[in-house]
Amino acid sequence: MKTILIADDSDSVRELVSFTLENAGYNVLIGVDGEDALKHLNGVEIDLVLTDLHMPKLDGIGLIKSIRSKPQYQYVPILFLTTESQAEKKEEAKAAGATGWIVKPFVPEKLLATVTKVIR
Amino acid sequence: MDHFKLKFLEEAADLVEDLEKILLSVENDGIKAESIEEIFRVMHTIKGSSSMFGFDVISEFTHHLETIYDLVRTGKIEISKEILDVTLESIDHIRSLLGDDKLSQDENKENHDRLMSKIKILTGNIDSSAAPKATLLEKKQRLSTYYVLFKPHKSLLSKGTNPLYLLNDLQDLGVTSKVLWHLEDVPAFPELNVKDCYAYWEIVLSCTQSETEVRDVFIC
Repeated sequence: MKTILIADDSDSVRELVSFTLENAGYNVLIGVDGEDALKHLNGVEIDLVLTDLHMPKLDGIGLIKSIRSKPQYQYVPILFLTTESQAEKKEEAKAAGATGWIVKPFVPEKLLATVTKVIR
Repeated sequence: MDHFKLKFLEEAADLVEDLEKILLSVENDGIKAESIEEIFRVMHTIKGSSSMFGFDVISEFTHHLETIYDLVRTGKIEISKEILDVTLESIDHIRSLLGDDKLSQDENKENHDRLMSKIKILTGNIDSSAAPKATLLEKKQRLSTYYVLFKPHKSLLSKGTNPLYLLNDLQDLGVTSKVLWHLEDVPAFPELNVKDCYAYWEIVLSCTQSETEVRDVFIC
């Protein structure tokens, strides 16, 4: 079973995303912010990270950089969830090591299609 | 109302309360950079979550309000009493919208229009919605031709992505009238790293999808 780590400070978005992914057969780990998400990177195998960009304590860019600095997670695909339309924000996340993004709002089908595309 | 919408409403009510507390602390203790960041982040969360669960009016409203704080935090405008007053008024308005997102009550509609005008003046934004826009149907029917240069980063394969899947996805969008594949960057065997991707492609694609939808194939 593939494992996906979700980092988002919104309870409702987190719940929708985890519900969608768990129903599709994924094992889901949850972080309520970047710092909380980092606690899961303790050797456990992770197949994909889905992260929000604006979070308290440690934001999405900081989380992406931290993940990429850990040899075990250097090549894990990272998608960020964003409402940002500004190209520079996307570029910043890509430069930090993100694989791509999913723009909010998205429907569960779109989320699953993108996740499948990245970790198939 | 489904479970997720109810969850959003609970969360939004808490976030609005947080916002009010931050603004009150700004009034009492003065403005700090952290407070601006926090206001921006809370608004951003309300905007993102509301759009996810179909609360479009709240999403659009907080988007405009958030823009003010984005301008403030990036130093393009200065925080002012006028901005704080509008934000405080907006907090009450967002509370009303949580129970009336369709603006079915006249009082909420009037309040909404009045606050939106104030916010747009503060952001210096001209109402772009007045400009004629193509309807969804018109957009869907328009056939476009794209030249796609797909030159993946060398590390693509080691990140678990198969470029051939992406080419298949692209083909599913419409008609690929020309595909040129390039292998000239593949080095001689002694220098070859089997984990690196050296190939790249040029594609001419005709489809009715927007550029964003084409880019979505590559998640870029």
